[in-house]
Amino acid sequence: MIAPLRSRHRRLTLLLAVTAPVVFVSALASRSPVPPMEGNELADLQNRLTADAIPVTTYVLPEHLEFARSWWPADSIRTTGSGTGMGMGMVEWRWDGRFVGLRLTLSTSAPDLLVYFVPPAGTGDEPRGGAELLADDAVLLGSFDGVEAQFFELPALPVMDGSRAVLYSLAHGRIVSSWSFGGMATVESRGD
Amino acid sequence: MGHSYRAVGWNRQKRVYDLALIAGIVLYLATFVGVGFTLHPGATAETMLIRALGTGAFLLLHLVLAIGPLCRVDSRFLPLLYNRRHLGVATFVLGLLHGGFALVQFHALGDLNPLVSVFVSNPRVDSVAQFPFQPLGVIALVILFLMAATSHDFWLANLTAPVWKSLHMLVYLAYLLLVGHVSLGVLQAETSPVLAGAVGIGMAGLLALHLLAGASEVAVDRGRDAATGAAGSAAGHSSLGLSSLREEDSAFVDVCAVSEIDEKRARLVSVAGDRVAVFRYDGKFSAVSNACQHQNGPLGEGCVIDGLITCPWHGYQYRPLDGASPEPFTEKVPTFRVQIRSGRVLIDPTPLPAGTPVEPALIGEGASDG
Ligand code: HEM
Ligand code: FES
Repeated sequence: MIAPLRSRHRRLTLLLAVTAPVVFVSALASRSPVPPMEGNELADLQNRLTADAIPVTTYVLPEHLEFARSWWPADSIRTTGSGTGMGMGMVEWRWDGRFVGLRLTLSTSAPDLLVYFVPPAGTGDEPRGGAELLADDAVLLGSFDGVEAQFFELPALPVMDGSRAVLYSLAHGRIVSSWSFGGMATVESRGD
Repeated sequence: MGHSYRAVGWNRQKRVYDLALIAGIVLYLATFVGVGFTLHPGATAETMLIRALGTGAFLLLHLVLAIGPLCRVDSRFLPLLYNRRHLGVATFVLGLLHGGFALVQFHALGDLNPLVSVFVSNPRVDSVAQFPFQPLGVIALVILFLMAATSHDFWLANLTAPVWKSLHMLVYLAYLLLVGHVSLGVLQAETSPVLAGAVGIGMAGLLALHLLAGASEVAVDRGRDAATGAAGSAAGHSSLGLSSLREEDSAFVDVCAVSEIDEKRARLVSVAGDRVAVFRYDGKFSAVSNACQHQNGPLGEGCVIDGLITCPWHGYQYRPLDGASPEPFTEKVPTFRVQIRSGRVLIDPTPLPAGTPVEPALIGEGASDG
């Protein structure tokens, strides 16, 4: 009578006991590594930013951005960059050789934004299936949790021509903003 | 099913559970959003809601899946089982809201139909880290919908118990899909170990419970264990016209000693892969098939109330003498012939057609046989 049902149930639970942990563990194992943060440097940077130095939010046309002014008063960071956002406002990128910073000038409609560093040899980040997708060798720098501006430590210097920082929407499964380190104007290391 | 169950306290009890369930859900969502905004003041309300609803639904699903084995391990959890259907429907509703918000948030602004977009916008099935996790959620939601939609006994009766049960076993697939949805989705980004830890602990706990309950079931099947427990309330029983079935005794198999069955309770025995519940009540022994006609609940884990075998899951009742539910109900379970010999209980493993009256064995009888 119910013996077949019970044995089917038993087989299903045994199958689940094997497959669910496999899915879970292999998903966790394949996460991109987050580079360790050294000391309080990143926190310091964030503090300086939130304490006194955030410039008034500026509206910039999405097509192309040119930044010539420093992000904060200190003399350390001078760089330019451009980026385009997709339906989520404008992204401004900055970097100082060690950290890459970004901020959104409009509020985002995309949650779960991740910041990745994409090495120059990055393959697979060409548009595929209509959306720009992440390179397999992209290095996760951290998640952008919606505060106005945030900094992420870059994995290893030197940052070569052709490397990029990208803002990736996990929910959309694609890159929403990308910024190239290459062809930069003057780059000065912070504090040197 | 006994009408006394329906009339007395049944609906009120259900209402109390429903209110507690709704209050619990509201409390969870409010706490999640409150704590979320405290920790991430910059987050948007939509994000917070999507996450609160998603985690809420996933949590409820854990509860739904834990109730079955919990009841096997400890009968004090049985009251939760009465309300499991409502938990399942609540899981679906939260999942629907979560998925609905996510579709609007992430897929409604493009030129594709959101339901198409969710399946085609990310083609990276070849990658673990960027696997399209959202379709997994959609499929799980469809399964939860099917279960919620067919959860009423109307569907149980129309689909027949085996089909209905098979359909509802899809819940394991839904769970697997959701483990994928979460660990291939949000866990790829989440650097804090809280969510990953919670998912891992939830999964380990659920699987351990199921394996534990399964192991004890296997033990029952091997005849090493049996269901016993506290006695139910005392009561008389209805009298029936009984057919006297006393033929050759050789077909009978030994179940246990008379003293091993508590009054108003049953002992389970496994014959030919199916289980028989042998009940003792008022000095008599009767045996019926263990599977309740409602949702195959374990009758042998129930007790005799008002002279009727009462299913521990939802209270359907059967007369011990013929396995039939009292008027006006029509459910019937197969019966088995019972004998007492030398202080041992024996049954004939051949099931008699459902509803066949069988004369109960009496403690006194057969004492002189051996
Ligand atoms: C139409 C179906 C579904 C869609 C489109 C969908 C979409 C999503 C998206 C986009 C996320 C990431 C959200 C974020 O990171 O903030 C997510 C996360 C999640 N989903 Fe779903 N989902 C669906 C169904 C479900 C169902 C049925 C459940 C559970 C019963 C569920 C449970 C979760 C959980 C637990 C998370 C992680 C919570 C979090 O974001 O922190 N999802 N889902
Ligand atoms: S009363 Fe529902 S399974 Fe027995």
